[in-house]
Amino acid sequence: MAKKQVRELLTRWALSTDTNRREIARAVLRSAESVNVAQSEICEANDAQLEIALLEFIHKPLLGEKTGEFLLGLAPGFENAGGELREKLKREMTLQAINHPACCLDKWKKIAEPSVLLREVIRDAEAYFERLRAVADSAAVAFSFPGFKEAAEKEREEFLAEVDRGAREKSIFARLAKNVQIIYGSKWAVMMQGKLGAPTGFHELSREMEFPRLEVIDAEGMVIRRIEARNRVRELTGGGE
Amino acid sequence: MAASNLNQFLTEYIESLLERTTVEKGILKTGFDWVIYQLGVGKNWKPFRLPFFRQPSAGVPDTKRGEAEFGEDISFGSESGKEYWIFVLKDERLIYGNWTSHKFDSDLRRAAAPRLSQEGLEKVESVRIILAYNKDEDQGGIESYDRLIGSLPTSIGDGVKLSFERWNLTRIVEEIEAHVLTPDLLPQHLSGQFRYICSQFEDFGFGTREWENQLVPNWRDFLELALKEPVNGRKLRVIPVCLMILNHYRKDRAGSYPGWIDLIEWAMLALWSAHQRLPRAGSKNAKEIIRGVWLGLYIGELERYFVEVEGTLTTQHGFSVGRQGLGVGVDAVNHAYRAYWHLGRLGILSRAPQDFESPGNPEYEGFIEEVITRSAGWLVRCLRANPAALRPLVDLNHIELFLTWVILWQTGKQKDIYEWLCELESRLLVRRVHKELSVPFIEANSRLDLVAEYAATGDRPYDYANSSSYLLLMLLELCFSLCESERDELVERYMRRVVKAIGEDGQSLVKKEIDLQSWVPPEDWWDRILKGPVLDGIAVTTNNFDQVTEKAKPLCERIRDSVEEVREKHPWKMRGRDVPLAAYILACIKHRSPLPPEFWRGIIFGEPGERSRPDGG
Repeated sequence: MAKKQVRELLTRWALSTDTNRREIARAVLRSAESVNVAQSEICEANDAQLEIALLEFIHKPLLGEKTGEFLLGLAPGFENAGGELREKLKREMTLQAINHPACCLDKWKKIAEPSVLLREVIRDAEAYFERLRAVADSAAVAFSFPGFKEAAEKEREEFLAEVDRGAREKSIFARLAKNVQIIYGSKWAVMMQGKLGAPTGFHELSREMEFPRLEVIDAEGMVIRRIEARNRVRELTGGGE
Repeated sequence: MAASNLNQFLTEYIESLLERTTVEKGILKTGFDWVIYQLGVGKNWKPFRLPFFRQPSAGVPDTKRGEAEFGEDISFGSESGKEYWIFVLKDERLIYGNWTSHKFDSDLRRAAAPRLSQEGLEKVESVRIILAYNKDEDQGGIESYDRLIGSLPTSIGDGVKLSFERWNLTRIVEEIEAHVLTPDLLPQHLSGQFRYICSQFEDFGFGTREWENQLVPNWRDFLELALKEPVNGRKLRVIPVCLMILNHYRKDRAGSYPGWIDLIEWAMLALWSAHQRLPRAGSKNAKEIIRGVWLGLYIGELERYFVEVEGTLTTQHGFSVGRQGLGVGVDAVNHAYRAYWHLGRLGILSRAPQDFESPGNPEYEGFIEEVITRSAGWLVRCLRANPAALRPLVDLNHIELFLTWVILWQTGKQKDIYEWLCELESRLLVRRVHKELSVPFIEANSRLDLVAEYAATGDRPYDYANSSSYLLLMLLELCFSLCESERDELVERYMRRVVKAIGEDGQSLVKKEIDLQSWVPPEDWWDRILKGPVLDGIAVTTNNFDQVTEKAKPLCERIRDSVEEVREKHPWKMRGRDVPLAAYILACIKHRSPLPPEFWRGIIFGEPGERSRPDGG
C-alpha cells in the first residue's frame, strides 16, 4: 500500500466511531517517528468525528512533538467546522502550547503563514507565559517547605536510577555485551591478549524529552480531563470501550 | 515596612523609657540613658561620662548612685578630642510647668559650666550641650528653653565655643533610625542574644531546615526572655522594635519578606500569650499596646504583603512558577505548601479587623466590608487560577480550608462555595483512587515530610497514614452552609466517592474506607493554644454515620444529629473577644494544632440545641 493510502487509512481510523480502529490508529501514531495525518480525510470528516478524535487525543494523549503535529493536522477540519468545535480545538491547542512549550509553542511559532486559529493560540499561550514571568520574582514563590531541597534531591536520584534501570533493560549492549564500570579516567584503553589498544574517548548517548508541565502543575486536573474526555467519547459513540 | 509605622513603634518605645537605667529588686529597667549611650557609640563618639557601669558580659549594668553630676547625664568626646558633647536627659515633658520643678533650668545652667580641666578634655575647642527629652513639649516650655539659652554665654574659659541643642522625641527617634537601628539599641541583657538572631536571619532562608530548627527556636526563646514576668509597657514595646531591627537586616532576597512575617507571627503569639497573663485590673494600657502591635504591625504588614503578591495569587498557575526540583511530585507538593501558606494568612487578614468591630460605627463597618470584599475577590481568583490551592496535603490544612470557606460565606458567595466544594471533591477523589498520581492523598498525622517522601519516591512510607480524617468531616459539615439540594448532593458525593471510594458501578475503588473523626478540645484549650499545640481532648469516631437499621435516616440528618449529640454531651463554648479569634486561628497554624469544630459549627448550626441553617449572608 502506498504511504499516502496508509496515511489516509490511519487518519480515517483515528476519526472512527469504532473504538478498536481508533486504538490501532493511536498505537501506530505513537510508535511512528512523526505524526502526519491526511488532510483530505480531515477536511471530509463531520463534526462528530472531529470531536471524537480530539476527545480521544485528550483521553490518551500522544507524547512530546507528536502532540503538536497531531493537533496541527486536525486544525483545518476544525477551522472549517467553525463555532463551538473550533473553540474546543483552540482551547486544547492553547493548553498543549502551555503544557509543551518547546514541542508545541516554539515549533508553532516557526511556522510561516500560520492560520488565524494558530495565531490566536500562540498569542494566548505567550500571554500566559508573560504573566508568569511577571510574577517569577514574587516573594510568594520565593520559599519552600522545610526539607524540600532534600526531597527534591531524593526524587532526582530515584528518577535517574529508574532511567538507568530502564535504559539497561532496553539496551541490547547492556544485556548481552560485557559491561565494565569505569571508575577513573576520561578515556579508556583495552588490554587484550597482552596488547594494549589505543585510548579512545567515551561516547555519550542521550535523549531529550520535554516533560508536560501541567502534569506537575495540575496533575489532578489533567486526570479529570482525561476521565471526562473518555466519558464524552462513550456518549458520542454510544457504547463502552 | 512603611516608614510611618516604623517611626510610630520606635517613638512609643523611646517615650516609654525612664531617664535612668535602674535595677529594682534584681529586675533591670532600661532607661533612656542606655539609648543615648548607644546613639553616641553609633555616631563614633567616645563615651566620657556614663551614668552606669558597662558590663562586658551580658549582665545587668550597675548604676552609679549618689554622685554629683553637675547637670551632665552622659557626655562624649570626639576622636580628635576637640569636640565635647554633654547630654542633659529628661524623661519629662518640656512644658512651662515643669521648667523648674523638674530641674530643666538648673541642670542646663550647671551643664553649661563644664570643668574642661579634667583629664581627657585638654584639647576641647567646642562644647555642645544637648537637652534630650523623650516626651513632648509645649510653646511655654520651648520659650523657657530659648530664653535661658539666649542668656547663657557662647564661650567658656579661653575661647572654647559653647552651643546648645534641643532634641525632642521626634529628633531622638530620627537620630536612632539613622544610627542605632541595631541590636545594641536593646537593653544589654537582650542585645547579645538578639544580635545572634539577626545574623541567623541574614544567613538562613525562610522555609529551610536551618530556619525551622535553629532560628525559630532561638527567636521564641528570646521572646520568652524579653517578655519575662512582670510584663509591662516597656517590655511589650521592645518587641516591635526588635521586629523593626530585623526588618533592617532583611536582604533583598525575595523570600525574606514572608520570612519576616513568620517571625512577626511568633512574636504576636508571644504577645497575646502575655496578654492572657496580665491581671484583670490595671492592664488597660498594656492590652492596648498589644492590640496596637497586632493591628498596626502584623495586620498592616500582612495587607502590604498581599497587595505586593496579588499578582501571584491571581495569575494562572502563579504559585507554580519556577521549577526547583526535578519537576514532578515534590514540586507539586511545594506549590500546594505555598498556596496554603497564603490561604491561611489571607484568612487571618480578612478576619482580624472584624475582631475589633465597633458596632454602630458606620465608617468602621464600611472598612470591614471593604476588607472582606477585597479578600473574597483575591480568594476567588486564586482558587480559579491555582490548582495548588485545591490540593490540601495534610489534615491540618482543614484550618486553611475553613478560612477559605468563611471568606466566601461572609460575602454571600454561595455559588462559589458550591463550586469550590465540588472541585475539591473531584480532585480529592482522583488522589484517593489514582495511585499513579505523584501527590498522595491527605496525610492524617500532618507529616509533610512523609508527603514529600511519598511524592519523591512513589513508594508509600511505612508510617504514612491516610485512613482517618478530621478534614473530610469538616468539609461535610461545611456543606450544611449550602441550600438543601446542593448540600444533599455534595454530602452524598463526598461520602460515597471520597470517604468510601465507591465507583459509579457500585464497586469499591479502594480497599478501605476513610474513618471520619471529630474532636472535642479540652476546656482549657483557650488558655493553652497560644503557647503550644493542644492535641488532647476527646476523639470522636463517627463510624461514618452508618446505620444498620432498615429505615436509616437520610445521611444529612444523621450528620446533623451527631453534631448535636456531641455538642450536647460535650459543650464547648467560643470565648469572648478579649484576645481576637484571628490570634487563636494563627496559633493553630503556627503550633500545628487542630482548630476546634465549634469555629464552624457555631456559624453553620447555630447555638447548641438550635436547628437552624445560616442564611448565607
